Amino acid sequence: MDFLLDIKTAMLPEAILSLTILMCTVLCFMLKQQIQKVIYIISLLGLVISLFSISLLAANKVFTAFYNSFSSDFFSVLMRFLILAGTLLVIVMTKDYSFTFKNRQGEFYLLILIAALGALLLAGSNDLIMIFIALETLSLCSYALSGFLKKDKSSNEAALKYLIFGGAASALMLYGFSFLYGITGLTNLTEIFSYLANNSGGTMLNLTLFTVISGFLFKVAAFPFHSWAPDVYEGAPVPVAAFLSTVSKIAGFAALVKLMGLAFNNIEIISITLGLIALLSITAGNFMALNQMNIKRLMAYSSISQTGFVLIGFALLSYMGISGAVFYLISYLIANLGAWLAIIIFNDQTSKNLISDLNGIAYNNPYFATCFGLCLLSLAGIPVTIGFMAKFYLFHAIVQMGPAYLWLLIFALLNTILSLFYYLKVIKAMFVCGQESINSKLVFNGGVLNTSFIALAVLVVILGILVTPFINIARYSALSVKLPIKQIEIFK
Amino acid sequence: MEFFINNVWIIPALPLWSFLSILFGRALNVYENKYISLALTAGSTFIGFIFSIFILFYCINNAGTNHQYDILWLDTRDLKFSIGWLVDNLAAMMLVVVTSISLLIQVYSHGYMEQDKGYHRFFAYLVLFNFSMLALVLSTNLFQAYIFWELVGVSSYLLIGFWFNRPSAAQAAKKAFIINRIGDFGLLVGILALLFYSLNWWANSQNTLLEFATLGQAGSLALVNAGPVLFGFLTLGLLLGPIAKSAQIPLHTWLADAMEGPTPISALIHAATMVAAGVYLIARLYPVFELSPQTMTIMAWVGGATAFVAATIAITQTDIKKCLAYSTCSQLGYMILAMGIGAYSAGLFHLMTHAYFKAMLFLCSGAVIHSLADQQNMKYMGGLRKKMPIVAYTYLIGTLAISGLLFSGFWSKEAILSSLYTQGENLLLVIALITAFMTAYYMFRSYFMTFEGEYRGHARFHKPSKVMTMPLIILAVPSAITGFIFSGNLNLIGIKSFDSFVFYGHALHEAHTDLFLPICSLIIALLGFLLAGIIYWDKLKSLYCNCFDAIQRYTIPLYRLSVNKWYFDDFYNLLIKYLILPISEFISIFDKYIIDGFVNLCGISTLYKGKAISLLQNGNVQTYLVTALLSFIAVIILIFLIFII
Repeated sequence: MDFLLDIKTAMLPEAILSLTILMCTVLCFMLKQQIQKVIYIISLLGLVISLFSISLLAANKVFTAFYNSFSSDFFSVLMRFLILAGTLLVIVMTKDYSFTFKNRQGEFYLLILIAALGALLLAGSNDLIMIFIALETLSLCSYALSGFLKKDKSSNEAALKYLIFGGAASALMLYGFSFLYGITGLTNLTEIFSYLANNSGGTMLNLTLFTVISGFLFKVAAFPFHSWAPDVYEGAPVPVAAFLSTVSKIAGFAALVKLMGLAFNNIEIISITLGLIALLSITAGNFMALNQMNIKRLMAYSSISQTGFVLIGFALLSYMGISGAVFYLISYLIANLGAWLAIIIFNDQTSKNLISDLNGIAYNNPYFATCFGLCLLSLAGIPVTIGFMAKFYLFHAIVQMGPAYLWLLIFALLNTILSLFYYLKVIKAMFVCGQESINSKLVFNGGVLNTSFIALAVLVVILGILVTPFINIARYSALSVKLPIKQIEIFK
Repeated sequence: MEFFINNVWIIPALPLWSFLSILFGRALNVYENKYISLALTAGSTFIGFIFSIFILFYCINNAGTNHQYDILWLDTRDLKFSIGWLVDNLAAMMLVVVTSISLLIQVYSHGYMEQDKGYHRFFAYLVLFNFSMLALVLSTNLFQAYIFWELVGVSSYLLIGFWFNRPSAAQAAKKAFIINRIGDFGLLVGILALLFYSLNWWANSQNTLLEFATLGQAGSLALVNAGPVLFGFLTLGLLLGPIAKSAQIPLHTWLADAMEGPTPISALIHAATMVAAGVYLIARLYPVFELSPQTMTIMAWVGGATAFVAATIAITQTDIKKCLAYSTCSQLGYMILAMGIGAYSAGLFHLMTHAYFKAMLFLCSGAVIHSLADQQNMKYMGGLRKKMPIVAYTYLIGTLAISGLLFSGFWSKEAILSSLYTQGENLLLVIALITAFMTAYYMFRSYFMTFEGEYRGHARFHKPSKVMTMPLIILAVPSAITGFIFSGNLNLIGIKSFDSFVFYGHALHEAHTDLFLPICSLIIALLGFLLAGIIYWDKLKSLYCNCFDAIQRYTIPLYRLSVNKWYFDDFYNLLIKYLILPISEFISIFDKYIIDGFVNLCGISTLYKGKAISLLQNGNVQTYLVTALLSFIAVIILIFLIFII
């Protein structure tokens, strides 16, 4: 009975999602190609129900399941909410896209749902083995998903690259886990933390930590494990690229936050190295994005640099920093999904992917151009959008850490300016290039895609103005992680 | 009653909603019918008006109402940025003034703009202005007030340049915007300096940042921190904002040009409400200004000088709207003068009465202009009383009111003059009295030129519609009586005087025993009326001899000075041409070749760096893995190095 009660209190969304997956599996084999759209609707329903079930979880308490290997605190509830909302939008994106999958539509939704389940488990995992299983569930589905356009050469290439890279990263991570087990003899994270609080792990612990972190750096596409991202985003089906750049990243970051507890024996080194990695991610992403012509590749590089900004929050190793990172993730999810929705709306109608194809689109479709522009401005961090507030709050967290972190602030600010270039390049193509250069036409009807696109763009602005409640949510979630922090905190 | 106070946010929220509805009108089918825009605009203002009336009565019945509600917008631990609404007596008075005049002018605009192509655009701007003005009135803190202060400026800019196809309108809009920017710059510097010198206070007190309620305490701390000299400059910076917005010397030149906008706009924004926002802000910042006696003196003299100079310019204007514009300038000068000498209630009292009669005067002039097919020159008018009696008589009421002949203007001006008298500011009192004389003169001059005598124009006349005359008749009532009602003479039947309702510090109990000053000002106004009559009223013309020409010849230099508006515009033009443009050209060369060159160099080199780094991304998964692993090993080595060292 205890087992079921645990599932009810801690894992309700996961349970509902699993039931949906089972249903979809059965339907997948039963339904003919023509009516496989039913699976689309059922998976949407399942996601909506599990989104609602999140509100049934008591967010202010910690519940565990599976003998402490899964814990549901406010932080993981928030992350799971973001993951489910992101998956929901990704599935909405496939509405007009799924015909390209021919008779395998059902499988596609099945894989996305399983990947989402993996992401959910990863966000709440509290045990090394759980982390690994959840991560592999997510990864294996992602490999299959990115190669889902079987006849397409670049899609196959993307899947293979992703698989090889993912395999290498997983191997590194497992290697680190084995060291961790060797040092402590434990697999449960809470126990490992309490063990490390009393015993120093020695030099070995640092090595271990980095091998472990590498696995997640791969998942979130941070330097030096970023190079798969552009090729995969370009080759994979667009909804999959959106999934990888949002949902899968959020899951990776959620697990990374839990592992940050390992860092608190040697704060300086970890902090400096993570800061370096963050800066290199931002810089590498930005520099490579400058010359991009393909909008999907551009989004890939932009997501690498955005990852770097989130990692800055981790590098500070303070509650303020982590709450900044969490808030940045919220803003990134909204703006990035909005941008991907714009890309897929454009791609559905014109099957084009170049920035120059967007030329003058503001003249025949001002709503599309404005909403897309707002999402991009939010990614760049221009005021009145949530992206500005997220950057502001993050930089505020850096300033709070004192002059020792000034270098991080300066480079992050310089990079913010740099990133404006390529976001504005897209906006310039849409608004400034004259009417004579229009080479694609876009119809904007009131479908579910366009509605959710406009809703996201409106959200970008509204959250940019009414920001305090969301900052508070980020703070509570950061406080609920209960990291074994030894640092002097100036955070109330 | 409590309901209205608690839901006061509805007053600005409805215009905002209407604005958005008209803005996205194409999708919402608003543009199909003109009445939809009108209904949205006037409806939102009407509900606001009802709210304001109830709030006003609530404030009258409950002395010392001070309802403040703040929404925490941004909390940075030390500083709390909020947006909220503050209802006290001052705000309640302003709300009623703004909403009532707005409502009437919106109805009037329907008649005025019906044939215009930009009808919906006009109403969108109008309702945007309404939103920003009401939100400015309800601001709880200086930070919020600054936001809406700028928004008010933007909507004013949009409306002055409403007919942007006319070069003169586009120029006027630009001029208004730039001159207001100068003022806003001063205001911003003032706000930041005030914040800088009182930052600790705000951080410790945990109050909403820059909230009006505690501005005085923060101000006195800033005075200690900054010293009296710096603090004086700080308050002068703050004062610059109202000087520009309320068109005071030396930043008054935009107001006359702003008459390029549609006349309802001149009535609403550039006569009744927005220009009065400067006085309103001074009233809100009174606790800070009060700490610096020098600034108060400067304020008084700026007001007095503006009142005088603008009146002298108005004397010779032949454009009916420009004449009214300079009269607005002059009356605003009175208000600032009153604020400067500490006559807080008197200044705001004049603000209220002036808003009504000046709005009505402008609407009358609009009716005349509309009927004469856009003829604005009074030389080509005359004899219009017989053709449009309603307009003529309401204009006469307004003229009497502004001249201080017993209608509402008399009472408010009287309050200012008697404060000058009791404060012992004799020089300013003389200036104010001379200005009162000139006011009566030029207002009656414009009345006689427009409505009496023979018609001198050629334009075909058509009657103004009911939509336009009804607001005039309604406005005539407050123009005539508000002054008397709130003058304190009706204490017996329970209507309190204005200065016991809106006051600063403690209520002043003014004794109206001295009849010397009222009679003196009445006589002066009558003299002005007589002079105008002698010169411009044909019926009186037979009374004077031809020696008038001789007098005219001797006053030609003065006439030139007045017609050329004291050469303010010429002076500014010379200043810009020979001082500012050469400097800016020099700087632009520096900017173009050195700064731009540096920036371009950075940009180009960055692009090449980007290309170079992209070479790593060659699509080869082997390369990717090798780079990743090498970097990983590098990090590990780094860690070990740090550990060992």
